[in-house]
Amino acid sequence: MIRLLLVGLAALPALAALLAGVADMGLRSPDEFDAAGVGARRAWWWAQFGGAAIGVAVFLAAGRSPGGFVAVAAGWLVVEAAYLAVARPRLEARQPVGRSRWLGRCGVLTALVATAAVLVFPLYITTVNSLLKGSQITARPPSLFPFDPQFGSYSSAWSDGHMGRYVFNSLVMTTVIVVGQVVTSVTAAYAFAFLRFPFKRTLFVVFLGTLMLPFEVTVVVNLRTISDLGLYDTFAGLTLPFLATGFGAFVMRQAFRSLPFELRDAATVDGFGHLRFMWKIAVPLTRPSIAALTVFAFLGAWSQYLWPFLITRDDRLRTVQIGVKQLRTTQFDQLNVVFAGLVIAAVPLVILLIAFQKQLIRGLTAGAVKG
Amino acid sequence: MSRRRPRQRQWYGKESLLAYALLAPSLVLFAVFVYYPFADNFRQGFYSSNPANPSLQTYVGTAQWRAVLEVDDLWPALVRGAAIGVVGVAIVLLSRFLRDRYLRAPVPRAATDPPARARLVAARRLVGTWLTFTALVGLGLFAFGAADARGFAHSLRVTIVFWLLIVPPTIVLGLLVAVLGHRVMAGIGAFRTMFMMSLATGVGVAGTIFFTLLNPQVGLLPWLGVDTDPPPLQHPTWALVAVAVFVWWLELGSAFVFLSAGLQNIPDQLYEAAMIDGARPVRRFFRITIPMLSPMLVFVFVLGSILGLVQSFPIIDITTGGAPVHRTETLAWLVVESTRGTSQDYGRAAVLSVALFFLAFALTLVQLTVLERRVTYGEGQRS
Repeated sequence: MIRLLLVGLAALPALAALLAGVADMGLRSPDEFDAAGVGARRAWWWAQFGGAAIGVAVFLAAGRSPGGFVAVAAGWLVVEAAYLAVARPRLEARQPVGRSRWLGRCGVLTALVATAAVLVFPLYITTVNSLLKGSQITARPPSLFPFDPQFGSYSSAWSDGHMGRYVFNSLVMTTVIVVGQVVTSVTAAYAFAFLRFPFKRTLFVVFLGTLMLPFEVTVVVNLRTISDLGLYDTFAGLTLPFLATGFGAFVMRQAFRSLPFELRDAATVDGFGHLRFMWKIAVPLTRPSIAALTVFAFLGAWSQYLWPFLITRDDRLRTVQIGVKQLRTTQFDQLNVVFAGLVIAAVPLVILLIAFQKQLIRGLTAGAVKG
Repeated sequence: MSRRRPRQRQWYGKESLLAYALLAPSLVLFAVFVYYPFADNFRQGFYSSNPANPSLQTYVGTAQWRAVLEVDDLWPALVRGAAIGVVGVAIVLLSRFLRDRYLRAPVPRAATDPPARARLVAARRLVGTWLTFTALVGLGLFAFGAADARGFAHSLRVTIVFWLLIVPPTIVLGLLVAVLGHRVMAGIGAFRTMFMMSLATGVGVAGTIFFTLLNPQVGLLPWLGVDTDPPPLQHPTWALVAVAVFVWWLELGSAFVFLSAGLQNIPDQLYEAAMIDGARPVRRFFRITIPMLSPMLVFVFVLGSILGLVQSFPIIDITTGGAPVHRTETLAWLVVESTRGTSQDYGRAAVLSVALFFLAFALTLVQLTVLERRVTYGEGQRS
């Protein structure tokens, strides 16, 4: 308990100094550091990474104990304090930022860090618990950092908990659904945007009508249809109902309609047929919308729960979302394995999200949901 | 919209053929998996099915509708609910009357000071909104109170309470976090990624995380002093609230993404103009951000409502499974439950599916009529 208190006492001033330092540095451009003269620019690097580096070195030397954590915090505290005491007055003399702006930035940073800490905590504690020994998970006070990480839980979740198979099933199912949805959406949207045919308006209403019928309303009869087709507990049955969406067709139609109409005329003059025009010109030009559609289809398919829950009985076909529930019951005596399974299930999408964070928001801003 | 083009029934030869070929896959899938099941629900409602042999069906007419929808119990409850609604509206009208009588008078004098008047108008609006909201909560809580503790009426009540528990906090929290993350700053991308992290988990994984964290042996709640007995997810009163808190976290990711996209769509010139006019941040927020963001706010409202009213099965199944004493049995949960195990009953499931459809349909109507009228689209146009 005393140790815990010690870590807390060291961590709070260190965090405050870090926030104050980062806030001050964030308000200045790199050029000011250069202009302020010797040492200031270097101080930036020392404050950012030097403290952490010293601390981590002491931490490792001290045998990865909680006491080493105090060293990390202390190292950071010293370097940030040095920055605030030495470099900041010099910079402030050259080009004042002002106390109120600085404090404002400190407040914003505090709010950002606090919000992020609360929102990420469930995932963080899951990761930590997956690396602890089984007995440590239920110990109080709780361990909030894996000082002696055990990676064995991951291999047993992967093989004994069948997580490997669940992840593979989910990946295959998601890929089939995403490809199917994108292909049907693009082709249908092309017909609505560029082709003339009887009952165009009626058929478009048919497409939009599907948006009003959530899957939950039709699930009971679909379950029977799939059973009657002999597809219960098969891969085809798992994916078939989701291969077409009204939403995707609607989004792609909007994207196609934003293309200049002369493009089609020019392509016709050049002897392009409809299919070639679609594949060579329309699809490449609407790539941002297709990317956004793909990411949303992927997120939707990966987190599917209801249909896989109803349509698969066999463990060989189980997907990740159902699999973790299964894991929870089969491995409850080994909590670290359950947590490792959860981390394995979350990792693919976390990677996707980190890679496509900007595109996700940009794709929406590009006009997909604009009135 | 008023001037309609004459309908074209002209045949365009190969072009039309190509169009139908491109549409065919989607249309076939929609016919088999969307429209046929929708229609079949209505047919199945009139036939009771044998749990042992689903193909054995007998025509029972409207008896099944009446029994499953608990019409005899529901009518008195609906009348009670309507009475509460009338009382709520009466309170709103009375408060308006009293306000006009006693508070209107000073307004014109205060109006010489525009900010004071604006504050007054804002306060009035706030009170009005608050009253309407309480009336809604009252309706949701008491409308179906005395009905059977298990079944359609009860599940409808649970669904409405669940909806009220998840949607307003999701919108408010999403807005706060989106505004917080909407700034130009070094390293803001890392924060944004962390804010939308719940998007990456999916309901099964997130539900299992919360289920485990709310377990008294594993979770930190007892250690932090929150020690309910039985634990939150088995507690008759707190189970639904605990599930709702989980949904706040789960939905914050998508609310953040949509509201951030909406914030990025607001042109900077509006803020610059407001700053030149001397509008302070709070005023800028309520006069520019909120109106310009309204399409996205409606969208997030609809998204959360669909989740709460129609798609709640996975959330309930992974956290409580309808337990304790049926306190978390939402309508969506009931639909799926009636297709499973010993209580398998396709007739009942069909009737409940139709009820679920009307819930979704009501939501669409709300979206199209009530909400979209007050929404600003594009360059200050009202539609």
